[in-house]
Amino acid sequence: MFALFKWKALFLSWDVFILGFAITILVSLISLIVTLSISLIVGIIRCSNLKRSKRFANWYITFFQNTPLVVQIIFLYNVLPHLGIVFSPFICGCIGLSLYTGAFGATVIEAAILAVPRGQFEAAYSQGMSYLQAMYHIILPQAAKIALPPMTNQTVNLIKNSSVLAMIAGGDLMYRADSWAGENLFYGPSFIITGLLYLSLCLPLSKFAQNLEKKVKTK
Amino acid sequence: MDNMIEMKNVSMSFGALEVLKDISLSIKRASKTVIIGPSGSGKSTLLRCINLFERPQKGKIIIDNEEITHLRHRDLCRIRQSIGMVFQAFNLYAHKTVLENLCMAPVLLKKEKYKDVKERALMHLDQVGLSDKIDSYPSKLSGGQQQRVAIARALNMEPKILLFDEPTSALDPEMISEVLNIMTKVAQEDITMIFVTHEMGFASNIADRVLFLNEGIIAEDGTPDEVFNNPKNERTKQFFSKILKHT
Ligand SMILES: Nc1ncnc2c1ncn2[C@@H]1O[C@H](COP(=O)(O)OP(=O)(O)OP(=O)(O)O)[C@@H](O)[C@H]1O
Ligand SMILES: [Mg+2]
Repeated sequence: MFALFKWKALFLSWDVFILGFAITILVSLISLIVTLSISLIVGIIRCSNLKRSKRFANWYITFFQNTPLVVQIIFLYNVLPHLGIVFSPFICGCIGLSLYTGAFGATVIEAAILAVPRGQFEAAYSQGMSYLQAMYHIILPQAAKIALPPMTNQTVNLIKNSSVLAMIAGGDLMYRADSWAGENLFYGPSFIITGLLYLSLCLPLSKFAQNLEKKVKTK
Repeated sequence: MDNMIEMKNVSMSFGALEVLKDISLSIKRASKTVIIGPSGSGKSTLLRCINLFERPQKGKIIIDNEEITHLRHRDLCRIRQSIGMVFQAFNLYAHKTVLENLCMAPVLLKKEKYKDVKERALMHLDQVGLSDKIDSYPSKLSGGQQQRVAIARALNMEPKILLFDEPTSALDPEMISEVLNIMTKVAQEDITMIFVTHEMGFASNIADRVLFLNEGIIAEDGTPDEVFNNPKNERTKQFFSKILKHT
């Protein structure tokens, strides 16, 4: 594993890893944006009294939280084409990751909204605000603060989970590292570098979340 | 018509529990009414029916000659702009400064110019003696100060009606009088006000009318002197003797 020639080969193909790394970042960023939107919408629905939407939200959360992401993504990639819906691996990955993480994010947002004291709603209503105005101006800004640490943890999960794109040839870091090593059998160096690259994204975020949690607790 | 608030045969239940029993009540424009009564008698529910925080199953509620019981949500929001409420737990917007607490709703909902709203806010903060706290966040204020800001916030909407639900019950004893003083001052204004409170001294000072609510029924209705000194009802006498024992 520590043979110098293997590492030399790795550094000569650095562009493979950088490209994979860039695609992983891109997939994560796009999925994060979609995840946040899903979390927000589904989380708000879960706190509302819209009966039908709520039933749909419950169904979505239960289903996506309790099936493996790999299954969801392979389903999207291999089964949907039979129904005439074809997505590229990249798009499939983004959709799968967003739906999966969104199911967890929604419960984070729901919990954060419920953690804002009921009196904040009442004050807003008493002044004549509608549900949406109260939500937007009074509740969500306070819920966002509460949701930030657990949402950051979800982002870390999302980045790590983006590695399942490799299963459908998604072109991400995991996929490229695996195929590079598959050609020359230099698995050791390949995955050490890959691990470090994931670490470089996730560790700062984890630390950030931990610090935020500490701050919230000492308050 | 000279009535600001009218309730006609209002009944309200939570499940099997009937909290308000066929209440009819007229409140005169600019009058000051105090509601007293034992815990669980329905005082908060009565107050919360006036801005339709609770929807009574039966009866009509009429605000300034407009029936509100059947209004659509949007019209209800408009009506609530003119009905201020001061809560036991203050409920200041925790993520906004004192000045923002006062200015936000008038600008957002009544579409007033920020400059005018701010000018009025500064006047109201001066009125409650908190001009030096305009940029503080609620968490940095004492309970008494928070409640004074909450009163100023309600006033800054220029309401026709102000509802107070036990505004001093959550306060430490040494802060009660500072809030009562402000409320006495505010009671001089031409706004129709209803106070749910156990502060008998305050009630005698400012009330035109005292209602004693017992088990969802208005058991006593008169001037402070009539209700406090010559209650007709046995239950009222018991209530006062208990309160006097405790204070
Ligand atoms: N949202 C609700 N759901 C179920 N029951 C309720 C609800 N709100 C009030 N009640 C019940 O209705 C009754 C009257 O409550 P209300 O809050 O109006 O009394 P109150 O006179 O304000 O009492 P207190 O002095 O304790 O504030 C109580 O028995 C209470 O438990
Ligand atoms: Mg009450």
